[in-house]
Amino acid sequence: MSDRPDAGCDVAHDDPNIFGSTVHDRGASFAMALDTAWTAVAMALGVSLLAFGYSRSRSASSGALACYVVGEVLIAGTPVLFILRPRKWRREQSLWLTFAIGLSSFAACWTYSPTRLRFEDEFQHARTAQSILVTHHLFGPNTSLAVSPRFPGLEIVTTALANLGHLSVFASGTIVSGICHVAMVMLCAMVALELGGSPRAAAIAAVIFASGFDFQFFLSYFAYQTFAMPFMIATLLMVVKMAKANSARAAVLFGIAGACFGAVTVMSHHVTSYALIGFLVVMVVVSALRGEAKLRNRLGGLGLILAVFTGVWTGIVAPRTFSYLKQIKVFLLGVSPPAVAKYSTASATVRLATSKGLPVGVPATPLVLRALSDLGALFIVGALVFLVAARPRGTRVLGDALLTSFVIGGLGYLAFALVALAAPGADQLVARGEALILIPAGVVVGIVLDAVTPSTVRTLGGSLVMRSHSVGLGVAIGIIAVGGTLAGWPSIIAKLPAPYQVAGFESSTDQRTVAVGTWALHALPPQAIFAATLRESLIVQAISGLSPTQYPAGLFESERFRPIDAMLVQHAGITYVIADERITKQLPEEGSYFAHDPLQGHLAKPLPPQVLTKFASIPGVDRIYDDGVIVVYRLTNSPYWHPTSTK
Amino acid sequence: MVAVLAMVGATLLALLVANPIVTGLAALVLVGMMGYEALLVVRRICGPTREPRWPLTVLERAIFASLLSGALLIAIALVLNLVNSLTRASWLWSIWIVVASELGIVEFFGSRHSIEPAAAKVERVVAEPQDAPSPKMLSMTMTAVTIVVVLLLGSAAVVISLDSATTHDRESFTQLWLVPSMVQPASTLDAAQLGVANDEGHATSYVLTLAVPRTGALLSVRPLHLSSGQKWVIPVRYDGANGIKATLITIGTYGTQQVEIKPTS
Repeated sequence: MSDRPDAGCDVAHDDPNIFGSTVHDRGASFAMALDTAWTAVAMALGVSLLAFGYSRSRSASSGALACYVVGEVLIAGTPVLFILRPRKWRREQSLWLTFAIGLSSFAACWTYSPTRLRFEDEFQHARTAQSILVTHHLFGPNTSLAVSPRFPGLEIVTTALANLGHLSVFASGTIVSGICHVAMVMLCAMVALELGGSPRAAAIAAVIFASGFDFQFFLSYFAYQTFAMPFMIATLLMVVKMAKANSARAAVLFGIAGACFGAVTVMSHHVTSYALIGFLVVMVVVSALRGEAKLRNRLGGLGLILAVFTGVWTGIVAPRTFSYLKQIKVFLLGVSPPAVAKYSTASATVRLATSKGLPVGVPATPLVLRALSDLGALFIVGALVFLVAARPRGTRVLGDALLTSFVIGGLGYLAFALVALAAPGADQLVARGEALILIPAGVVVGIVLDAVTPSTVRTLGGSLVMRSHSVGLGVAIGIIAVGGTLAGWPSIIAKLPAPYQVAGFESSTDQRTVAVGTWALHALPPQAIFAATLRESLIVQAISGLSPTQYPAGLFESERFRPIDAMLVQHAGITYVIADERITKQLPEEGSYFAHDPLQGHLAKPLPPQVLTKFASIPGVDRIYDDGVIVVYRLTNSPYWHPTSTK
Repeated sequence: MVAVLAMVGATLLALLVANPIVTGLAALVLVGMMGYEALLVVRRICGPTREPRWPLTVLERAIFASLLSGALLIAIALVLNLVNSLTRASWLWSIWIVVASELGIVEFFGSRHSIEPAAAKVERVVAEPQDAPSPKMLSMTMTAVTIVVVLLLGSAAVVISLDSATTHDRESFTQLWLVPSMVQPASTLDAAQLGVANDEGHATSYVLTLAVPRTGALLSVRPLHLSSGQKWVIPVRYDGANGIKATLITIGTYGTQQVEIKPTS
């Protein structure tokens, strides 16, 4: 990558063995072993501390949060120290480091919930996998996530392992997700290496990629993006190799490999495949603008094949994808409430009983974490802007069509930063997109940071200016890594897996909620509409496929059944009400119990018990399920429900 | 090749064992072997090109083998979905055929472009005189100690997580339900399904009573004893005009749960 001989770190490329000890300098060999040893031990210690912290939270003991924070800092910060240590860098060192990052990061997620699925998306994909195991065929219906069976890559591999090995979907899914999680970090580093970055640049690229909001948890979940990501990055790797190939035959072979990995991406996750196609388009346009006909033809050929395949797959196999992705527009622009929204109102009595008359805030990310996270994002943005504006000596990023394409792709990070500022409701959308954008952004920033900061080997014996460069590099990467990891998913209120919290993201997924969802799957008609709290709506829908109403609050936030509630039942077509008594005992951690909650921001006390006990006295309302805490009511015999009621 | 085929055979035999750990590992080996053989095939085919050598570390091989395994499994699944079904037997046969084909291709291309294990090369490079000072020994010792420490810490994390998840991260509760049948029988009585599921984490005894809510008449009282995780379901018939009510009392805690289908008129 670098033009100048002293840029980046000293590199010894001649040893293909990860455990290789062919370093000619025995002292260096020992130093490397020492560095590897303390890095591995520190990261393993971080995972153990994290597991201990989670364990403390489950047993309601003290010190859980401290263990969590120290564990995460060790997991995220140790690679940064490894990068800053003076050494002769070799390819396998950066790959070893990225392997350690991926493994420890996945372990952090696994220890959060080691025996069962927890996140609502995971239940949706488990449903597709169960369908394949039961019917022995693909593309069966899944009412909880209709597009999931149409992108069955994850579920195919999971069910193959489950089938062959007599494993549960959870066990085989954990294996598949774990391999994918580790692979995506390593492949990110391999792309940086292939683009000419030094091993240190590759390691920095992987650290930046791993600092993404969704990386540690969301990209470890049993969900289709986890599976598609490594295939997308592998496609990019093959594309780079194809573009650089000396012979037509090699280009064709790498192109075929790229097409195969790209096809798996297309069959596994919609948005990831669209991002891949978009990135290929950028590459083709850049190479065309630079007049590099051979490169344009190669990239254009592969891009065309994948674009056609994507079009065919989406158009014929997964046509519902378009309607599914309309939610992006809702995230960005919001949506005008439907007519039924006007029936979802809280009664004056409940308002008075729960409010202190002042707005009530919800737990926000602590200022330190927020500052670290924002500063990290600012460093990434700054590095990208610096690269484009200053074109630092030692990099030829804008002199190379492939790298220029990565810079343009990386600049998408700025766009996402702007979206995050302009549309605060789109935070989930931004986080999902960030994972994709951090691939080119991480690679480019890694190469830039490596090129503009002198080798640490020389720095430690060098001038004050050089030392300050190294310290600056360390601070920047450290903030990006630690800030990104600590501020990432899950939300601050669900960083620890226990105790149970009403409306507290993953900490709301307890066994009772899963049990009622599983019961509903077998006992209730799949087209039925139910009303429940926000988190119960998501989990029960994901497991059972029943549809939650988007405006349930009015039914729960009144001490008696009012005429307006009858209107809500009729217009929303609500057949079942899932009443969880914990909403009368705990405040919602997310600030509201329900979707579109009229009491959001005003809840100072939990809802009064009457909001639930009233259901028992409504004529014709059957109490059909009771687990001691959660009760399910059926409204079909009540005078307020009509068979023709639709959502 | 014979050794690999023997390994495939041993794996297939292991897959017949009922132990999920053994069969899980065997399945991973089989699928991983399929991916690794695919990597060998690709590299043998790519070998004769004039490309500069693309050295792959052990980890890179593992990653590409995993990706190729995934891609092959998806291809097999698409084919099986069209011509057969995704049963265990069809998976086994398909993977076996793919592995055998890959082995055949590798043999066909010969050993000219062999990718011998990197470790062997390294051994040659690092061979040192017997009387050399031993920083290498130190490094190896440190590596071994590191592996042991990391394994211990990792095992501790696994044990702590599993133990706390199984002991503390579980709730004790019993599910009781009474759901009217979606298709009602052509008789004067309505049908419903009555069920109890024991999620208490231990064997539990209950008393279940059935009564008519309109009249208060007791229909039945029956003791129930369910082991942990056991589910008990029976169909019940009731007069829709009078409704039906079930009450479950947990022996020991005297917790009471109730479900009820109200009279229709």
